[in-house]
Amino acid sequence: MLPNRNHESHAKPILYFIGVVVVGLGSLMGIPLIVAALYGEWKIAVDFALSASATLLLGGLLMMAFRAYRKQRLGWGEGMTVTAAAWFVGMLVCAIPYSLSGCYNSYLDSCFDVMSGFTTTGLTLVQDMDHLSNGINMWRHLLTFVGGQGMVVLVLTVLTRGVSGAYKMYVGEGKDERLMPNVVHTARSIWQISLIYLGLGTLCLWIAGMAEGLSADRAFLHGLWIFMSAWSTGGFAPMSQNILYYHSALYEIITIVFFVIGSFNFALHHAVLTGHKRELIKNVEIISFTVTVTVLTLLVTLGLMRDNVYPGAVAMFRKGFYQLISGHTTTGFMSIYARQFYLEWGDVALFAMILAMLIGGSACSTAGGFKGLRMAVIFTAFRRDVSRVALPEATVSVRKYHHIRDVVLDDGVARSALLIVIAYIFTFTLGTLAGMLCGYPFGMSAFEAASVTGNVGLSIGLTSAAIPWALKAVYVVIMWLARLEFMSILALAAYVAMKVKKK
Amino acid sequence: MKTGLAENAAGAGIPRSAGNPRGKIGRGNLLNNFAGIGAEILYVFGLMLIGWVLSLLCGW
Repeated sequence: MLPNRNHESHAKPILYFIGVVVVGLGSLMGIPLIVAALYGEWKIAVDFALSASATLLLGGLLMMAFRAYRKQRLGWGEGMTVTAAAWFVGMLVCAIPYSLSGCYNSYLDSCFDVMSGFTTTGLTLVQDMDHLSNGINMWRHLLTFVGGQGMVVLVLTVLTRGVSGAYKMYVGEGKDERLMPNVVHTARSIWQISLIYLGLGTLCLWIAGMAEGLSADRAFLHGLWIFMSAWSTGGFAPMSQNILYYHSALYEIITIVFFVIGSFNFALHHAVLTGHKRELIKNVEIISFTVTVTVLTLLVTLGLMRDNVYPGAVAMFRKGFYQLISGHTTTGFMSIYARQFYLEWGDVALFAMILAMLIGGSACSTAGGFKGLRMAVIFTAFRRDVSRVALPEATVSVRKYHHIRDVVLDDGVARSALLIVIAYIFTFTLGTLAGMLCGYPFGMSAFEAASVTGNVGLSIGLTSAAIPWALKAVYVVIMWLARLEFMSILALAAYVAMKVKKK
Repeated sequence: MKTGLAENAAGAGIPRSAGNPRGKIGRGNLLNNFAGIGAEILYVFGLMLIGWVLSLLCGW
């Protein structure tokens, strides 16, 4: 995990690659700039022009200063350090347009929103969301869309050719499956899949929006933004009431389809879209997801039924099932008001929601949480160990599970899966404690901590611009840690510690 | 590929899949691509059916 001992020489390629990512993010600011200009939002367009100039200048200077190191081989520690550092620096530069727009109370609030977007969490501290400009809305949703697919790998595959450490950075972004033999082709496949769905999803939501009475251009923009958010399991929406704003069963059904598919493993998408449709029935991650959704839906509906919260099956489905599946896929779309969780839902339903948010979606997807694959690996290991106790000592017990191909369960994989799940639980505990230390009740703190740890975005009403700055900072760190699955940030921390120790 | 500590730790517990390098997304394989999208949508409708049945049972 630790970077090479000769870290002095490795700081320079790390800075070069951070420069490349910063240039990529600066270029990305061109999209909201164009949208703002198209809609005559000149103040916002100038904000984006200034932010893009500053970002491109910073990135360009880093690239030029360390250009000589661009072909240096990166080790695992350096690759992951680049990813973790690029996400942090990316947060700082992408918050500039938010800060200039005046839509946020402080620069910390802007950084919170950027990290929430990048990590596909979806919690927001923006002021007066219902009157945001199209340029700012485009930036919010674009950040979540790019963050979901993997920002560093996108930038590196577009802006550079044949980077030796690209795969290490890809792994550092919490993805570890090669769809194709080469990481550039893998990243390209991920983007192909996402762009096919982008066209399909935007079209469906555009039509649904017009059917619900929105004007054609407004329906298109809302459709595009909601799709970007759904596919990335992000949870941002252009209106403060989130999905509840549309009061539309059609909109709810379409969003369920795209955020559930968005929470699938990209390796699974690739297999299914290239002719292996049976993978949808055989894949252990899908089986795990189906089982946990069924059990937790039962718990939520029983909890809601016990407290008599909703009068009939339709309301139970549109409110209970929708929030559950939104939380389980770590999307965070809501069709109820945040305070209703606390005031109406009751302990059983909230407990099920917390579990769903912590378990999360699939590995190598846009989703957060423990991941279904890890749950399946741990469960399979548990079954194997129980069967070992029951069988004679000399018997060799081998367990297999199916994920794209049949895989024999390996002790190392089971141990690593358990360690990461423990790390998530520890982070969730810290987040809950931080909420309670800031004076919020246990239930609210635990719900919000689960939402932040699982990169979900559902809120019980705790997260707002009024919460203490320390809690905002803790949530930013937790979102960052959980999204990159801990190791990249630990590599960065080890790297910084080594630098400090040397001085 | 050598498996170093860092590689093991990142994406921990996620067995690396071989993928299907011969499979293609885009032109030349559009029929399979759209059949795959159809299958994924069908799965989600199956999941919604489970949610609907449970809501019906508990909300009735």
